[in-house]
Amino acid sequence: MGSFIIRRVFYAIIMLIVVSFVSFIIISLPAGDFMDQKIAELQARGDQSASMRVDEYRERYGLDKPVLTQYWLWISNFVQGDFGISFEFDRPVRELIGQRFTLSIILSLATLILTWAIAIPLGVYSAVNQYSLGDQVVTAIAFIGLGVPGFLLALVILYIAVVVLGQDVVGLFSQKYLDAPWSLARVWDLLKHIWVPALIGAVTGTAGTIRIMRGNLLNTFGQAFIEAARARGLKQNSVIWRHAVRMAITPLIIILGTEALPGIIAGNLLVERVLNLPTIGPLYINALLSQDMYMAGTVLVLIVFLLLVGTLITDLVLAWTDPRIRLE
Amino acid sequence: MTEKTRERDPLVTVKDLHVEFDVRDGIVHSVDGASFNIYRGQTLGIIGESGCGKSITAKAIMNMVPKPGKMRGEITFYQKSDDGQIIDQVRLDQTDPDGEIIRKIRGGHIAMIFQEPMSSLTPVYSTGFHLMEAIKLHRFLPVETIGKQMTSNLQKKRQVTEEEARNIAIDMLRRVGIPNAAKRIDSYPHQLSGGQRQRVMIAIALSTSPDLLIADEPTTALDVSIEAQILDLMRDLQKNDNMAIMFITHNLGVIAEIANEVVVMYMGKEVERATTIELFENPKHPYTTALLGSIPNIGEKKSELKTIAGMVPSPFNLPSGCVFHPRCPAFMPGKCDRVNPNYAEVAEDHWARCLLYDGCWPETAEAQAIKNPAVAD
Amino acid sequence: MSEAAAIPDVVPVVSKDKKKVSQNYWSLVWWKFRRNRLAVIGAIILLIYYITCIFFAEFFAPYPKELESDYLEARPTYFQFRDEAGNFSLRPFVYRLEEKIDVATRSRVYEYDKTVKYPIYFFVKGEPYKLLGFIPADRHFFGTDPANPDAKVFLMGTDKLGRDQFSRILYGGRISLFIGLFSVAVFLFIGVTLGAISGYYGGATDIIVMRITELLSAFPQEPLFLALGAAVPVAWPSTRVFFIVTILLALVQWGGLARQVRGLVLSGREEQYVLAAQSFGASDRRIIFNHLIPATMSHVIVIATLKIPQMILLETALSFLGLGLVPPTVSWGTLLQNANTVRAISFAPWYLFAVPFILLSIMAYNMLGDGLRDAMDPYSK
Repeated sequence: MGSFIIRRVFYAIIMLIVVSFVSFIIISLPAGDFMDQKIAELQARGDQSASMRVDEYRERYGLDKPVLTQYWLWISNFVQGDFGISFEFDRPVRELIGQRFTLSIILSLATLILTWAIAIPLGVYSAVNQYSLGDQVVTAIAFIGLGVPGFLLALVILYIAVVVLGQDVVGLFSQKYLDAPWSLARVWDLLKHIWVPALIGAVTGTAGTIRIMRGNLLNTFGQAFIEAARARGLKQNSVIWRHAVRMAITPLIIILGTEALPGIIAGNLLVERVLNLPTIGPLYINALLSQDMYMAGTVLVLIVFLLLVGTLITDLVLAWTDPRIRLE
Repeated sequence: MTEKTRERDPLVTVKDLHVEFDVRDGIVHSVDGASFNIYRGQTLGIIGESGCGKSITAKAIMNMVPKPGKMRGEITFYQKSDDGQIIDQVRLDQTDPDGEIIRKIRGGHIAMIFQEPMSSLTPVYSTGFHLMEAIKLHRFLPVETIGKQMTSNLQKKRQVTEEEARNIAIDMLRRVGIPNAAKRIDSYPHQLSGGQRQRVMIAIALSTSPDLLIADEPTTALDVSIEAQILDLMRDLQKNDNMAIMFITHNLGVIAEIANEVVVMYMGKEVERATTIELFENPKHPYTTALLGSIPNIGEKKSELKTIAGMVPSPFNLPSGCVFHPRCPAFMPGKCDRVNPNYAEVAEDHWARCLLYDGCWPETAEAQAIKNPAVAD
Repeated sequence: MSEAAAIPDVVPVVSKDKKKVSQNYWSLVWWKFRRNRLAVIGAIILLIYYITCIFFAEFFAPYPKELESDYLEARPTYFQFRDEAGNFSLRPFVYRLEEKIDVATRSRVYEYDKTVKYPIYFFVKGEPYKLLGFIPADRHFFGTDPANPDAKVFLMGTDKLGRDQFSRILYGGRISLFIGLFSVAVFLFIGVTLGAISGYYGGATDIIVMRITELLSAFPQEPLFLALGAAVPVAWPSTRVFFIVTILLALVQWGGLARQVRGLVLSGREEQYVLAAQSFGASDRRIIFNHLIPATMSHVIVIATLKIPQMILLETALSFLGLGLVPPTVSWGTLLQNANTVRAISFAPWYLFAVPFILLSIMAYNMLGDGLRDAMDPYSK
């Protein structure tokens, strides 16, 4: 087991290095750099003096050096915890991401809980009562949910909330609590706002999970040990949950493990943008649009890092829950 | 193995059992009028080719016919108390398939072991888990009271504790011959061999001291040597606990070894029933004769192996008259393809379904006309 | 002796289906597919989309996509069949739009002027165009009286420049649907070829290809694609952008397909017919392309059909953010940009009409793909 972990960690480190390099290259691909864009922006606003300070800025941010040097500078600072400066905000990337990290986690956690709380019971119900009216309804809803992309749904819900209901659903807090310190009232305010993005995020996830749960469970039902369990006089519920669902849920755990962690940041990029949430997603998109290199590169590497960690943890959890895997 | 004078103590009686499946292409009659009795302490063998309905019959007794199957007929279970008094007659066919009554019986009074020991245990749970699950469900210990002389009927029962269950489980594993039982109890199914897994299944089945053990081809997937061991084991346990066995197989050799009475099935119908010795010495139905004839004898020189001609017909395209007639060596043209024989007692305690015997001809006018054709004009 | 077949005690068999005649795999697939109502509906819907958006958009759209009008961000003029007086007419008509100032919001709004009706004619003359790119024509599926220059019909409203959204949605569909198809074609090409070669030859090729797909799969798709999309210069001509976006879409996704094909080829390689072909002296290329790849077709077709909506959505997301295809190119994503803000949605909610259009096409593809998957699997119910 120990050597297994060491090998995986080693592999992960190599992956991260390669990924960081590739990400950096991709981010720096657009012709020109942040400065060009900024200048254009400032000039459009009538600020003529910016072009004179360009060289100063360029040197300050290291933009006048060749790409490889820039990468090296960045990565050597990265491993020490300095993720670079965000041009857009003129603050350390680490600080900006850190501010929003908690909320990203909260949102993705909420989405996850919502997804599983809805999907598992529905999936089980659907499989147990196959072909019943309930099953057909659930299957239909799941099917529709699969086809509805999050950000389109966000637009529609935005419309309904703003125009039809007259509510303010943008962001995660009302004006009053935006920068306030944490308190019970602030938590309540958060809950009032968070259900919208969490629900939108949950839609696709639920649909997929329901279908997988239903499919796996139906496959499991056909297996011999289920019949054997029934023949021992077990209650229907025991057979379903303790034996069938227990076996059928393994693929879902794999999916959960590999998607949960990276999903913190990348889970619902566009929805977060449409609803303008104070999470990391909109930071990333803005960085892409304005060529804020270090910000974009850092986020990308972070996502990959979370993915690798998530996969490792999943494999470990699998080994713990499924005794057949332990021997490998 | 067998006893000349048998005590007729019925445990489960099956009367006119029908199981039908309504599928897209038609209605399949998996079991078409089966009637037999299982007696306490005796072994009933059910033999037939694949698809003849023997497994479904077993499942019907447990009221576990898979959807979309529909069952009708009378299946009665005679429940006895610990000291031999009949306390209950339960119509198994009328129980709610998920209800409490049948669930107490399943695993508690009637246990079943299956053909594929590989896949009969849930892979993520240990042997002990399976055993203790069944024990905790069905085994009850008497509550210790001051007056221990109370009859067992009136004595209160309590559930077993975790520790007691574990001890019973280890004991069961020992009884079925698993070495190092105290350690093995925590092993997982994939760590055991096929033979061991089947022993575990038997242990689970027997841990509740059932009245009847239904064994659905339990040794088909095992080596011959392991098979012999398992059969020995079953016989021993049966002797110790006076347990009845319903043994389903397609292997005549196994039947000869283990069964007191044999039922032969073909295409869902019973075609013959007799005691084992009688069946082997005086088979009445041509199908049985053909089955017996196809067993090669060691030492006997033959140029060809005898087989039964033809193939099992499609359930959607059953032959007219007697269902076996296209393959029957004793086929009587004009009769077997037009009249469907009844099941009748053609000798003492010996039933068959064949037009070779008078008693099997139906009483209808048409049938009698065919039986005794008028002299041609 | 009676000849009548009076057969007592015969068990009746109720047979519901006649025997199926053809056993050829593809005809079985077709037969099974036809029975899946959802899949057939999906196919029909897609057919309608292809006809109206890809091939004949110019015909079905009443106005060209760039035509501006004086009605800026005007509300939709829906078909009416009953006028103020209660007269019912079979021929639909639309009301004229009247410009008004909303006092509360200090902005311009348009309302129905119910005194003026513009009847809708079908196969009416309108702006000239080239059907399928080369046949000159000027008839449109529907429109107002060409003789009356004030008569306008905006089924789904207009945008800030007064352009008819309905027409633009159709034109946008052409780009978006096309990208879906095209990118999947590239995706298939790369994925199947690399996967097959990797699986068949093994060795170094296999290792290299697999490592690349592993690297690719380490990135989450959407963020990677967005980052790549951001790298596309805004200054490029739209056709070039179109191509590069197509390639990027395929580039980000081919890994999964390659791995699946590789797996199928690995197991297919051991099949008897391959050994037989090799013993006849068939070249590797022949074996791969004439035998192994066709064997993977059923899986690949399903994957491809279900990938198309994903590609469409990715591209829509990209242009929605302002990357990749940007205005003046018309795609569903660029059209959705109009609905980006709360202000836009509350004042001009008709921008959201693009949403059900997109949704319906996605669903149709999913239904089709699901139906294909069920039909191709001989063992499913």
